[in-house]
Amino acid sequence: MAYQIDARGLPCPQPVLKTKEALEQAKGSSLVVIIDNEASRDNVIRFLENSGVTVEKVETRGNDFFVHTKETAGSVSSGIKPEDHPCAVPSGAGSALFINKDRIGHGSDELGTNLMKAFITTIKDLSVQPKTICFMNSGVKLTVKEAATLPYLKELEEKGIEMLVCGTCLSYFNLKEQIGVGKISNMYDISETMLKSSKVITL
Amino acid sequence: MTVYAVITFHNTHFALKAKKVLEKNGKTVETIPVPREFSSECGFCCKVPWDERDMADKILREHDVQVEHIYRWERDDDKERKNKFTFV
Repeated sequence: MAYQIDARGLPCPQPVLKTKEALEQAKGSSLVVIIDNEASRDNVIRFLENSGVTVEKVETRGNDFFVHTKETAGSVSSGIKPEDHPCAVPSGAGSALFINKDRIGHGSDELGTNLMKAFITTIKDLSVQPKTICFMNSGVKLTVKEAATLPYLKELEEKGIEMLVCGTCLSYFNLKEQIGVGKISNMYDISETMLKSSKVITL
Repeated sequence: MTVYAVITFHNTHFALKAKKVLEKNGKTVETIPVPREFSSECGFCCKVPWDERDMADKILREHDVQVEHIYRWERDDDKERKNKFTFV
């Protein structure tokens, strides 16, 4: 009789922790671990193998994975800790840039404006790129027609970078009709995007 | 392929002044970060169409903007962004 663990819906590293617990309680019988994402599946398999347990097969049923093991060796005393199985950043998460003004830094507006333009023209040529760029307050001015930054932001958008432009801010500056790139967004989308991102860089 | 002249300066003030002066004289000019190929230091330079380099140089001299170097920048417009710089 296999010892079954349902680790669906659990955030990383919980599935590995539950598997470890189950190994101790299974007392030699085989295990079936049910997981609903690839990162956890890989982590659980790696943990089992490192613990000396043979993974017999991995079944995919719908969105779920069933990891079947052979009979475990009774008391499994491995030095492997769940911490050794780092939680991968969920696929799809990336970094976000939060641009909350139309220039970089304080000291000189002229310099700050040129630095912002240079920053945007530079990131479009780099191999590392953000997943999303959020514009708020006077940052929205970078996205409107006539803005020197507009052609470069358009290039970034064509490369698949999502641009969220604060609608409240466009409206405040009376620029709603002038938007030239990205999509008019709201506080819900912008805050949610930032919280979901692997990191947020504020300019 | 597009060919530009990249004009570098001894400091940021000259670069920003050059942009203003050239714009005032009806030139198409853009300030861009100094490419890594030229200098590892942070700085701005001016990018103008290649054919306008002599005119730009003349205007800058007339306005006491000291030019450091002028480079020829050949830029492929494909996604690879193959750039070629030649000091002129």
